[in-house]
Amino acid sequence: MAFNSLVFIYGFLPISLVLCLLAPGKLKNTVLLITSLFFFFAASGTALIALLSCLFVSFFCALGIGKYSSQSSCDRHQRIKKGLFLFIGLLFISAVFIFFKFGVSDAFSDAFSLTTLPVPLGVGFFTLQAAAYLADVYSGKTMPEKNIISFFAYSSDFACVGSGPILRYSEVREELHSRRSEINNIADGLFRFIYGLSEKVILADTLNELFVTINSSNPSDSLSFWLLSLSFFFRIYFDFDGYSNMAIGLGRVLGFNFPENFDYPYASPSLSAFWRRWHMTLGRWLRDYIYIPLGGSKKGKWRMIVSIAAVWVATSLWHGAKVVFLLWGAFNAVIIISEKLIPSRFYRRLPPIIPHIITLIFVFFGFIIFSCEDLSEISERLSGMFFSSSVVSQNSLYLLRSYAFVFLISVLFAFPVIKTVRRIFFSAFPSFSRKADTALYVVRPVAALLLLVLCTAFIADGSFNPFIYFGF
Amino acid sequence: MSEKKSAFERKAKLLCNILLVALVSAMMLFFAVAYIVLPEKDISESERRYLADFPDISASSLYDGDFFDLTESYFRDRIAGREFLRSIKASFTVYPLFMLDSNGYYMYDDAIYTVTYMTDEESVRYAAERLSKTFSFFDGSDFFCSVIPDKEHYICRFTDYPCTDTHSVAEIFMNSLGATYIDISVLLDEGDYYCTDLHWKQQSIEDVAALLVSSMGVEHSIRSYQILKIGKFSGVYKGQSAFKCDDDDLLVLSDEVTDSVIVTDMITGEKIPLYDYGAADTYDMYSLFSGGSRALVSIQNPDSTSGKTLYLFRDSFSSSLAPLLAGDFSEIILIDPRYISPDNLGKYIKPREGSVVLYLFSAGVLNDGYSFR
Repeated sequence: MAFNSLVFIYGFLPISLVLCLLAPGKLKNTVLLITSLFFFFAASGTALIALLSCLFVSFFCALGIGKYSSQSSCDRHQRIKKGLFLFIGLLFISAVFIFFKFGVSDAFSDAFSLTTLPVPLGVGFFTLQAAAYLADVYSGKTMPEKNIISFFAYSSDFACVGSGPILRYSEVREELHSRRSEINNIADGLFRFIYGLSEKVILADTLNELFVTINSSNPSDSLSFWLLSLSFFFRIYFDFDGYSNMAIGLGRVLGFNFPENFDYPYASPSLSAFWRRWHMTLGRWLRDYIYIPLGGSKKGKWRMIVSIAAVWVATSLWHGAKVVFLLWGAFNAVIIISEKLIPSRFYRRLPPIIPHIITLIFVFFGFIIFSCEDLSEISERLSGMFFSSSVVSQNSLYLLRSYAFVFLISVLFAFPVIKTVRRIFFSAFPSFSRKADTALYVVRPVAALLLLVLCTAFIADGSFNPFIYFGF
Repeated sequence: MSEKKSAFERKAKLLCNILLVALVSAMMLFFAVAYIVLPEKDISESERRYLADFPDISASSLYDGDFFDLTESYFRDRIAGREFLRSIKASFTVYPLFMLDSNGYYMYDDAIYTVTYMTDEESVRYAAERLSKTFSFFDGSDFFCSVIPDKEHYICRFTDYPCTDTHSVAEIFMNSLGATYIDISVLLDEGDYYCTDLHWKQQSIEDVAALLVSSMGVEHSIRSYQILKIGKFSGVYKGQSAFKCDDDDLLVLSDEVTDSVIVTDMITGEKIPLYDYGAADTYDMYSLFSGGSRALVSIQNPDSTSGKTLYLFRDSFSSSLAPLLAGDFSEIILIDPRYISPDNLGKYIKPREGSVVLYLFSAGVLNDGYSFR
């Protein structure tokens, strides 16, 4: 039951929102938990069992860590017990993650093969969230939650746990215990949800149609291969940014303020900056729990290189057990390390647009690796782009013409074009700023309704396309 | 003054937010309630398919998540105003997004066409090879073949829309099959096909029938037909594309031959009408010709003196052509290789020497020749 399904939009969502919003203060978390568990159960029973087992273990391990944290930190035995709880918790979470991500058929005999089990919804997300919670409790950054309902409601919140943003307990603790749903927040949240839905079903799914059309027509000319890669380049952005906007919007409706997950990453001046602006909550997790503990950039050049390499090994493995993910991770690690080693005065000499273009090229080729199934497909795609016998074909020219405006809209929304034009205009005519702001509010209800009708039309007519990141 | 203004703006924003929540909630409520209240349709007439039913609940389907996947199919198929929503999507794709097609369909001169990106040469060869197995079965007959161009063939010359390369399909088919080729493409143009469907109009193919018969060395008799209007015809392209487009008129050609022929389903032995006017009330009106989609159909002309039998390997296009050939043969046997394997023909047919065998298929069907048994 993805956010872009009609059963979610016209079945689960209205019922769960009414229940969550009308529930009295003390029951809000209970109702949120019940609806979230139903959401997981709808994905599969395996998803629910994987989620609940992780949550039980992390809840009780955190209580154990908390118990020994409150006592004298000088006592060695207490520290060992505290560490043991952390170890058990992280071991269990890692085991759940590895079990489902990498399967067990390779590790065990065929007689014990469990490969038929589907990857549970959001396993890459709720395991990271649970691990971060344990680490934060261990380091004293947050107190363990003693109310199991509140903890489970946070850890299983259907709005975000399926595909991010990855929350920290400290970010939502206050809202978990006392949140209010005001009409302005509900309106903002609904609008954000519909905006994200539009990104997914109108742009990402339309670009996916182009991807599928080219892939299934045995392309042989360069333009087809370029269009294939370009469609994935924009599709993955609108798919994931759309999901994040929907999650943040739903959070807002329910009374939460989830952190942002995207900040126009394609407009970044370096690959390091790109990864700070793409899936920001995952980047933050990797920075806080892998990069900095390993030394980061504070302990010399070699330590930094090792830290970056470790981050990218983790990132690759988090995406799944595929050679292409490891290659993609290595590609990113090498470029980011190179960026760190090149003196910053080198960049300052370049015209400002050049670093942006170079970054886009790196990201573009990175996503080519990411989108392929295996090494031979990468080779086929790259040789198709550069060494095809023909540059264009009737099919590719037709597809280019047909999707030209979709690409133009994609550029408008994937890059901060509208934001920049708006800023320039309002700095030139400041008196319009307030009027435009009010006008936007007036237009918003109609825009929301029209977009929702349009999204419904696209979903009703199309074949179902799950979110790319549901696979992770 | 400024405070008053900002208080007004706050109120205006609040009102707009209330309106937004009310509109979105109303829409969610409308569709949610419509699922419960509105009567259910089992068939999508425009798309010619059964709509998804509400799935059965079982422990395993709930545990696997299949139940909710199937529920989503049900929700998509049964949403209120589905046809209207589909037409919104088609229009939005073509107009605001300026895409050249919607779900692979486009409109040109008030008619609907489809985009085909690839001519699958292997598929055409496969079809020809399957059909060539019948040569020994019909030993002693004369063998002919022809390819019916898709209607897009006549549009692609003037536009950039990709379509099946009819000439290439015809060449591969002819060479792989080894029968004498009859070129009918010169007699047709896009106006000879329905605007809303892929098929040709029966009233436009008299000259095609004449050319085929004379090219096969059989004398063609000139017939004078009465044109009967059956009703409005909303073709498969219209249903699948969801474009707004006027329906076609479905006309049939009738004379004393069409009135006197005896049509038999050779698999079941059932006698069937040459023109099944009852099919005009179904969602597949084109099936009124020659029994529609059937594996083996015999059309016997008791008044014929030619003594010739035509074995016509065909797809749905030939259903409307066969009545126009009926005057020139004692019997026409329609064989659809998508429903019967050449290996099984011996069970139903005893070939007569000196007969004529014609392999007549549309380029689109040959481009998907793996459907041949």
